[in-house]
Amino acid sequence: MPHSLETRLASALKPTAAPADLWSRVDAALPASRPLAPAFWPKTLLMAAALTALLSGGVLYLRAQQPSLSTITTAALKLHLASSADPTLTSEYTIQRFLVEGEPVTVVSKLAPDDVSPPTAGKQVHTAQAGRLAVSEWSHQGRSWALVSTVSRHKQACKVCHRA
Amino acid sequence: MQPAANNISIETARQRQTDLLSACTRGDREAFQELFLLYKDRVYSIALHYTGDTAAAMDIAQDIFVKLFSSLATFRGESAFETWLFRMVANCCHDRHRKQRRLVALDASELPTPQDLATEQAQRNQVSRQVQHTVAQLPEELRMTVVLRYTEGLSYEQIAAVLGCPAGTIASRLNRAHKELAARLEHLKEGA
Repeated sequence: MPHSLETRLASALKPTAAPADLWSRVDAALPASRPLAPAFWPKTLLMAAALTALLSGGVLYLRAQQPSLSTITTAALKLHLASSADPTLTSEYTIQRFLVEGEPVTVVSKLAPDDVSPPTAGKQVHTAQAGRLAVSEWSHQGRSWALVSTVSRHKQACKVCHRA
Repeated sequence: MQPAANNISIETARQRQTDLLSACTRGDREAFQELFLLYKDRVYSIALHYTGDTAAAMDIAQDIFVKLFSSLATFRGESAFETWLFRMVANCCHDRHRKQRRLVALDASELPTPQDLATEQAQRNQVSRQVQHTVAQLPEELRMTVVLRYTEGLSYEQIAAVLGCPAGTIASRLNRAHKELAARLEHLKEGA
């Protein structure tokens, strides 16, 4: 072969200029606001919100996905409200999306119907416990979910625990 | 004196990148556009050679930069920024592959016309397109390894850092990819 395979690969896969309209597409899709500064919305606030919900018997769902900008204080308020509701896993939920320390986080609370399917309908892929808290992860409809709850509540709903 | 000058140049470039990333993290859109201009071709090229499809590559590149704008604050500098960025690209390509689970055919408009074939340049282009098409059909784990190796020119260690596996695994994947590609591109031996 006059040209080696490696030469052919290097030639065929050489870098290509991105189309000129890529920036206009990116710019149009960027959030209108600036991303929240990491120091301004610390994870401790999220943990406080989670604890508020957990201590009141509530359930907190987190899911990483495309962020939309909001405030963590709203999350705390909504979670506090949610904690008084019956946290039945098969009910419908409200989604709140946040950026916490620069990481996109979704909080799903039981307030009102929204576009979310109950994560328990999916395949449970992982379970972990730490102290009084339990974390379960599900994959459902191509999405990855994490449920944070108390160990006792976790055992009521956890398919893996039920199998055991 | 040349090595010292190079060191200063590298250090200046690093500092400039750090400043640029800091500005982007603060939400500076102009800085983000500058970052975009620095990396757009590299991100697009990886996506293009991975998918073999220009529209898919555009979608992936768009997703990457939108995600980058929001998640830049999570970059802790534990690896090189390029490693972190390319890992994001690889994950995005992987996610897309999982969702689609189908082979993407080459865009018909990209195939050479009979007039093109008359020229030597066009013949070279045709060979390149065959190679690109064949790479786009490789199993996923081999494909990303090949693209990072030949599009970005990354070392085994750098690819390993991007894909989160040992360098030995990368060597093994490249070996397997070369064998598969050599078999599938056997007919090119007769050409130039």
